[in-house]
Amino acid sequence: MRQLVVAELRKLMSLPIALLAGGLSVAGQVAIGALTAGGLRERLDAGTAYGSAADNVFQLVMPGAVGAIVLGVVLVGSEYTSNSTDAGGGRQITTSLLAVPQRGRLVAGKALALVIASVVLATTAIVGVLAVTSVLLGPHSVLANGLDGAERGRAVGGLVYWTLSALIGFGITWVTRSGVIPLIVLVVNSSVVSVTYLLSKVTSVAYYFPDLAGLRMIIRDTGTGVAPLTGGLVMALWTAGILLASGFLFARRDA
Amino acid sequence: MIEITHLTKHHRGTPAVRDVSFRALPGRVTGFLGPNGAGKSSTLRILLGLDHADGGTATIGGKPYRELASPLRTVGALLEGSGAHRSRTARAHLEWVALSNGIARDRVPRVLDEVGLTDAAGTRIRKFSLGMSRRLGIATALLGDPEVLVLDEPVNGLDPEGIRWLRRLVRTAADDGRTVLLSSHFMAEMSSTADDLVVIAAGCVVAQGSIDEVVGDHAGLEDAFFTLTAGGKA
Repeated sequence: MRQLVVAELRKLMSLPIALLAGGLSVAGQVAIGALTAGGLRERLDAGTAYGSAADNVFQLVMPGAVGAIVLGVVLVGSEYTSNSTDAGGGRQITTSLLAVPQRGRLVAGKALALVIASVVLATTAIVGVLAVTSVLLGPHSVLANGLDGAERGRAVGGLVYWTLSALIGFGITWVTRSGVIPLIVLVVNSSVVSVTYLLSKVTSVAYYFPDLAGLRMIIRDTGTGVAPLTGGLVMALWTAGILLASGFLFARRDA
Repeated sequence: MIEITHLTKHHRGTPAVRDVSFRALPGRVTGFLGPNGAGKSSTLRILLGLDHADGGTATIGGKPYRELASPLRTVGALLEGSGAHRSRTARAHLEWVALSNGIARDRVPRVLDEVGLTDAAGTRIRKFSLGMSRRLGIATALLGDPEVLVLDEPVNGLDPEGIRWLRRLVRTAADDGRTVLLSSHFMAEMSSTADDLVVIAAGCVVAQGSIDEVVGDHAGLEDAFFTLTAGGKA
């Protein structure tokens, strides 16, 4: 398995779109942190900020997760990208399955490589956001007095949220065998219009959707939705379900 | 040795492979000859564990492909195109393949040299011509220095020099005692490359044996092929 995970990491690192997704998610998140910190500091100084400094800083972890979703989707989508017929057609999945014909093992190896990549990216992004905002927020710095237990929980929650988001994108793309639909649905839902958020206004069942449940690990003081630990568990269950279903389908289908 | 026994496969209800049985022996080039759509690729994809059979078995050295540990060190295969993602370089592609099967890294420059792609090692695959894509596919097949080679239509897209090179490559492989199974719809290619032939038409094996046995009383391989494959379709 170690051999397989190393090969999958090598594969990921030689795919320009994956590097771009990873790089942009970290850089974008830190940049948004830097750009919004000035305004946030003024509001905190004036006492007009919505929520505490920590609430606002940890909220910045969410948009970066879009990059993790893209990473998960392209990791699978790239397997199914066809080469032009001028170059004889063909897709990489053929080579991947010739190299690792046990389907479950291939999915597991790829998923592990994705978890490693997501944890590295999320750690870099969260540390980056905390560092940048604590410099810019001055007296309101989240790091000034060290992170308390709840804040450490949120940091870990952010890391888990990134990783599970990436795995959800990864799992869904095994079913669609193309990155286009999962990218549109997942990225739009987590950035432009959150369909699940809108649904939560209609029914509280929507709080059990993986994204809203998972967000409770990061955003604490909303007064709505499930408890943070429950949220994490709910998101993890969704992820496990999606991975099992897609792995089962992949094992049964012809390549 | 490759052994295929009573293999059957349907695609959406239409039979693609019907009770196909044959062997490919070590030290010999076995040609798998048939018109387009005869079931050659379907048979090879099942042999390589990519598709499921509806019935029958396909084994390499007595084992189904999916049960081989580090299969690329036993079997080298070429299917459509290069089997590589277009935004990777040829070297990066071969490197991950080598890592996945515990193949020594120094095999990468060696196979690139063997297929004549050393100068294109750092080029992204989207810029490859058809001939270069096929050469990269063949390099991937050779990477694990396998005892068995399964090549699906390998001459497609190769220039005359490439075809000659490939012919020498499979001959040398067989002379070294390796098993070579080569599919094609080019008769001239087969008559100059293969030792044994398996002729398939409309999913059924219609003839097999040495080239002389398959040609039999016909004027030549081409004559034999058209007579045999027309019979298979009837």
